[in-house]
Amino acid sequence: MSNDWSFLKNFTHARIALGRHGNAVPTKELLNFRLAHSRARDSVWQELDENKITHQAFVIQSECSSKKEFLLNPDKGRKLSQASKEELQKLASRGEPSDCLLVLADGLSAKALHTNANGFVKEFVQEMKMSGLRLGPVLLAKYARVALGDIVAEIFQARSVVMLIGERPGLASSDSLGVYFTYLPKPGKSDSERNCISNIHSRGLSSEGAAKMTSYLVQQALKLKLSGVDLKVEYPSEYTRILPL
Amino acid sequence: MAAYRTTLSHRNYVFQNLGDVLAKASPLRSGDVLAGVAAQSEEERVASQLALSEIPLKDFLKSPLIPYENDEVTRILYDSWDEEAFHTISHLTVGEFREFLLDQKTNHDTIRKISPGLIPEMVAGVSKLMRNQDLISVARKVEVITKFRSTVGKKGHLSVRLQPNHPTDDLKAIMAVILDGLSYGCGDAVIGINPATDSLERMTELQKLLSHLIESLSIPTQSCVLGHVTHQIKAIEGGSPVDLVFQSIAGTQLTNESFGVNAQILQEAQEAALSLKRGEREVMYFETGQGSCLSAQGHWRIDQQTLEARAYGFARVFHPFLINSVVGFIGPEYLYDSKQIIRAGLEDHFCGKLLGLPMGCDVCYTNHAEADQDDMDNLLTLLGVAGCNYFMGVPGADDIMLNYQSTSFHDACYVRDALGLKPSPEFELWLEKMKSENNGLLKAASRLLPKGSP
Repeated sequence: MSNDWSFLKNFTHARIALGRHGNAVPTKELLNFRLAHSRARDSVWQELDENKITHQAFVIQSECSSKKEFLLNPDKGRKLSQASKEELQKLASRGEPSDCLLVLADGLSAKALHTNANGFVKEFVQEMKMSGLRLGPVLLAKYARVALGDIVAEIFQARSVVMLIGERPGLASSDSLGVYFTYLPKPGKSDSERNCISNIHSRGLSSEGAAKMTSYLVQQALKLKLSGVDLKVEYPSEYTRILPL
Repeated sequence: MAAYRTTLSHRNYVFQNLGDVLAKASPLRSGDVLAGVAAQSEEERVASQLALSEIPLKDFLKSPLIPYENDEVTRILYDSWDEEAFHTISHLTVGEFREFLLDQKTNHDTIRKISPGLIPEMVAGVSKLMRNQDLISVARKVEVITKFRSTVGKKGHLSVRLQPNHPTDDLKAIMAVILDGLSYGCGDAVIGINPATDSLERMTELQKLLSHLIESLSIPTQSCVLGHVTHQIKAIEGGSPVDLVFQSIAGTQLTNESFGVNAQILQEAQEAALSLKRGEREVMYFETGQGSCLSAQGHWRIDQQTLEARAYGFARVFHPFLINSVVGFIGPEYLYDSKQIIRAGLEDHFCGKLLGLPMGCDVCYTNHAEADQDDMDNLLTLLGVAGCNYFMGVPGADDIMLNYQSTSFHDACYVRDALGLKPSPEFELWLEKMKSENNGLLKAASRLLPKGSP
């Protein structure tokens, strides 16, 4: 039976046409799944390594002081440590208010930043430059959740914030990044006021394509002065092209 | 609100109000600890359950946990409450209500009759006194049937949502997964795609793909593209073929606002879907999950299981075709491990069924929770025994877009086989027809996706 259907595998990396013995999957597939799960479990616990980020970035940390604390206390991951807050206030006082701030955050997969952030940052910085928008200093946040970006952006009085954050690792991709974009960020913003671009990894959206999409999103939001469910963005199709399997 | 108390031989426990008793009586879960509403000790938890067992059901009607004037969900719960239906059980305490539900004389008809007289807080309350086997015993008495092109929820039948998500919404990839899933008898609850981007254009493409597939193969099922409800309304206005309208909902107005919805928007969506005359009455699909209110900071210091039951009370007025909790999706800060996920899955199904909803369950976990596929086997089997209307069918149990693990096409075959359950009647006939046409599905697959042309 598996042979007849196996041509379907040409179209996706989803686990299809696995074959069956009774109602169960073949032993090889059972163990493949367990191997992928073990890797995802390991990547949840991997620590952020700032040396893996090539663009110059200012390192900050949330209120969490360990991975476990981060996993069990989402609220602490949304707040800045006192030390980071003071450092950022100093840094912000030296610069001018920016149109957009880019925060790289480990979230639930530091591995995703290590693998896919560099291409994104390079392209995004370039795009901002070309569109004449002022991008604040790039920040690298440890033990961070999405809403941390609101607090950071408020310190910098930035008009918008792009949070590039490691997504929950899945089995097929333990290195996927997501973009959470917020116009006029400040503490207390809800998820419905954000726009999201997810699945940025080697088998999803390319880092470069996602950076172009994000830049387009930023420009639309600044023009229309809003973000979230009320901002319906139709991306140029060449940005959303799928990467080859 | 009045205080409640329990006096044990050496200690007097006092609880501020009903919300406090309910929260502390809830079986341990990380989300209630995080919210600071859980019992401080195992003894306090049982002391709360003792206090709860003696509270008259009538007390639940005296003053809402979340004020009527501050919360749209509360208003809907109390405005839709049916006094006459409540009459049969109006003299009972929560503890006596448990015994009433478990009594052999209490059957499907009894429960369906009292159901409109229950407010979700009563249902959550009684669930907290129950063991897992009680939650199963009572839930399996209740049959909630809904109808679109297929009939879902009949006793002896178990349906599956085919969930062919793809990280870039690639149409051929999605089609390949659907065909694979159909070959395992999955897809009779709905073929439902969570789109990866929130583009209206892509959503419409997906809706057309599903509609075309369902029509060309005459599949007795329905489609859904699970974008934001306001997008789906726009798609309908643009002429897109929408069967079910989806939205995530929760048990408080604040949380629903954080999702960008309220009752009025849902009503507009329902009317828009009905205007297409594709379904007759049940055209909504809702997803929920314990912990969402705390996550959105809209929890009013109420425990997450009670809030989840309130989401079902809210859903009830929109007559959903499908509703399921995505039980383990939210993560370990709300449901820490498999023990908590399994308990929550059984509670959610029980509460939904008691409130008269066509409950399914996304039996699932994320990679940062302490759980694995063996735990999902356990919950799947338990909920199968409890009479759950439908589960998810995700290829290999691995959702490559949402990055979590659910139940697979194989799992659906297993649980149907182990418990002697069949697909929805219309879908079963269709499967037989495809088989009798000399493997018609495989032929259709080769036609729709020519070999070697990705």
